[in-house]
Amino acid sequence: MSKRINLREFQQDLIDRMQAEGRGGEQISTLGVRIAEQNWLVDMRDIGGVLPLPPLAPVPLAKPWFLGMINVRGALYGVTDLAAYLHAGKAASAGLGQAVATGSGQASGAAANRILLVADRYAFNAALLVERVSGLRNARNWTQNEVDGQIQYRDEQGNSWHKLDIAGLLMQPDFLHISA
Amino acid sequence: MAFKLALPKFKLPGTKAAGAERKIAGKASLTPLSARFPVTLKIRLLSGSLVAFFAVAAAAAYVNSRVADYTARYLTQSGKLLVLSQRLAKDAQLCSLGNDAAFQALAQSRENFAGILRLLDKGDGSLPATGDAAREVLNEVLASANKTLSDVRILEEGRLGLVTLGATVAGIEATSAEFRQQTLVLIRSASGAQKEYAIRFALAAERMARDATSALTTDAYQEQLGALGIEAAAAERSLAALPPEDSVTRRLAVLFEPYRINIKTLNAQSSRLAKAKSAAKSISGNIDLILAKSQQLIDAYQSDMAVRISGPIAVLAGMLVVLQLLVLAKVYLSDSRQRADEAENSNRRNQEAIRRLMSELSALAEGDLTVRATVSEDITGTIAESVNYTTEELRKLVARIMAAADQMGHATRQAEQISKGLLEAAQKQALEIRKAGESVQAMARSIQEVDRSAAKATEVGQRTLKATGMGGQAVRNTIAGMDSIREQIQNTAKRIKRLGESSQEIGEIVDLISDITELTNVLALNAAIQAVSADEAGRGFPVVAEEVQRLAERSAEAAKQIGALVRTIQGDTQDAVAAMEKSTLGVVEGAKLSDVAGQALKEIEQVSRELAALIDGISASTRTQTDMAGKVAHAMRNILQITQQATDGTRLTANSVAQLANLSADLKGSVAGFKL
Repeated sequence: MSKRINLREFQQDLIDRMQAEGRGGEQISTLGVRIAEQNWLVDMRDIGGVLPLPPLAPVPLAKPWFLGMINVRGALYGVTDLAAYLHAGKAASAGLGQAVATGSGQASGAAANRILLVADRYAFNAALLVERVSGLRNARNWTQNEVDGQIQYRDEQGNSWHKLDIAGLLMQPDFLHISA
Repeated sequence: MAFKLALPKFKLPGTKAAGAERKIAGKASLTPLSARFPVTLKIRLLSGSLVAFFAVAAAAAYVNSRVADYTARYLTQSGKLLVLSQRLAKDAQLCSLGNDAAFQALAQSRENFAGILRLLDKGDGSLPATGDAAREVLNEVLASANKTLSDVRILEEGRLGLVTLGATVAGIEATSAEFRQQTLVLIRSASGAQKEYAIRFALAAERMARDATSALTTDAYQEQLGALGIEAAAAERSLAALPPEDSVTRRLAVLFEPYRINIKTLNAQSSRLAKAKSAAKSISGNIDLILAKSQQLIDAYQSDMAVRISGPIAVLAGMLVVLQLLVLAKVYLSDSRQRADEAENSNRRNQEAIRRLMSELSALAEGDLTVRATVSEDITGTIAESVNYTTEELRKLVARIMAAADQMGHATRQAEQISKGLLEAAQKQALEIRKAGESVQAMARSIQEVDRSAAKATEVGQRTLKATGMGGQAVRNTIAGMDSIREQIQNTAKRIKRLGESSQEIGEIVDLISDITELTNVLALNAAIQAVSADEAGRGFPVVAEEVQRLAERSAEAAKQIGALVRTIQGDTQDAVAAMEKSTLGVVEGAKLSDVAGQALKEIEQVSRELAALIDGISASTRTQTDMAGKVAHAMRNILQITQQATDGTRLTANSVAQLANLSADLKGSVAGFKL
């Protein structure tokens, strides 16, 4: 386990990569998350921030996947449990339904759960609860294919990834209709 | 009478003594009846009757004298009766004439008369009542006497009248002279009618004097009394007609007053007077009869005395006594003579019987014990009987002696065999004793061996004692070591516990680190997101963010591993603490066991000490045993000697038994001469 990191090499490597990134080429812009035991890729331009789950103010007479309201630096956001939402809407939704057919439908609620804030440019105070944030993922070199209009990726280890379309999600009428 | 007395006694002999005597005198059965009785019996009979006759004679004489005495007294009393009856008649005569003193004499006589009659009739303490022939005469006397006595009683009842009559007559006679003189004076002085009254009075007084005298003496006193009453009344009338103031008349009245009173009394008593007079007369008439009867009574008493038979009985009994004495003497003499004859006869018979007995017993002297003497009724009969008895007993004795000699021979043969066996046994015994002595000596040697072993055992015991002491010390050391081990273990356990606590703190710190890395990660992501939104200038930032994120991931990984390690350490420390507690318990247990071992060693010490003492005891007793064995060996030698002496004695006994057998044979030979 004693993999001592050579600070100098690390620093050199970092500088190299930053320069390489700066010279051109596409920058890494996707974030890997895990929802309902499935890997999803989220465009980082669609999200305004990531934060651990703060205290929730529950909303009465709401759908089960609408967990409640949170306060982030003075702004209020409505939190949607994505896993539950996907599970509930698998039959109704044509676009998303098939992709989430195998989901359990509920976020784990563990310490690793994170809230993704929807980017400010959508002007939509919505927050999405995901099971875990896997980290930045560069999907440029991954094989991709389309299944029923949905783009699926397969990484180097052979894991399959779904693409989470935030804009499409926001436009779904069910997503906006939270009253039970 | 003698025959009567003897007859009941004649039947008496039936007693054993008489029977025995009769048996001896059995041959004299032809002698007369009287001779059949033994002389002693005869003499006893005779003297019995003699005493009886004597008693009869004495009794008759006593009765005779008593009767004579009584008869004398009867005669005296009846003589008195004669005199008293005469005096009674005289007194009654005097009484009828009004003599007061005669009445007292009459009462006295009557008392005596009645007393004598009572005595004769009923008797008193010393004199029996009259009986037999005199009784009839006495009854006649009593009949007439009782009549006289009742007459006397009647006479006494008329005492007052008779005495008054007597006194009146005496008074009249005494005063008649003066009376006559006074009346003469009166007649002379009086005149006319008064003279006539005076003459009448004088006549009445004269007549009164005459009548009173005749009333006293004659039997016709009743008429006289009546006349006296009439005359007294006439005189009274005449006196009343006379002048009362005259001194002569007064004197006459005074003189006449007792006349009047007496005559009144006489008239009142006239009936009793009459009875008394007749009673006096009856007494006079009766007294002759009483006199005659009394005379008859005296005669009857005298004849009664003559009739008594007790006198002749006494004489007859005396004569019979003399006769009995004579008969007694005769019987005695004849008895002595008969005895002398009988003695001579029996002497002759005895001599003959003895000769016969001697001849019969001559065979006995030659040893023939079957001989029996004839048992006759002679004096030798009993001798023969006892000789027979003796011979029989002698025969039995000889038979027993022979049987005993046989038995003795048998017994001596047995004794011979027994003594032979005894001899052999004694020799065997000597042999055995010799062997036993040797065994005892061997035993003494082995006992000495035991003694030596015991001494060695004592040494071993001492060594054991030392070893156990050392063992005990070692156990104590062990216990101390265990105690220190326990303390050390406890210290170690404390330290390990502290270590566990430290590792927990490490875990907490690691948790904090992992939180920090998480936050770092989030921060890096946000930075990357911001960078994406930025322009060209921020193009390199996602690389940094990616790197930061990777570092954060790695550190989180490391922290996770540290946490796992810390958990492992905590589990291990807990296990170690538990193990140490267990070992502490084990150490305590070990200390306990060591303690037990120490105790056991102490007991071993005690036991080996006791063992040493016991072994000492054993060696002491083995020494005693050795001494005892020596004594036993000595005793065995003594026993051997004694056994040898016993053997010699048994030999001698066998010899004696052989001699005894010879002696019994001799005895048998000597007894064999008797014929049984």
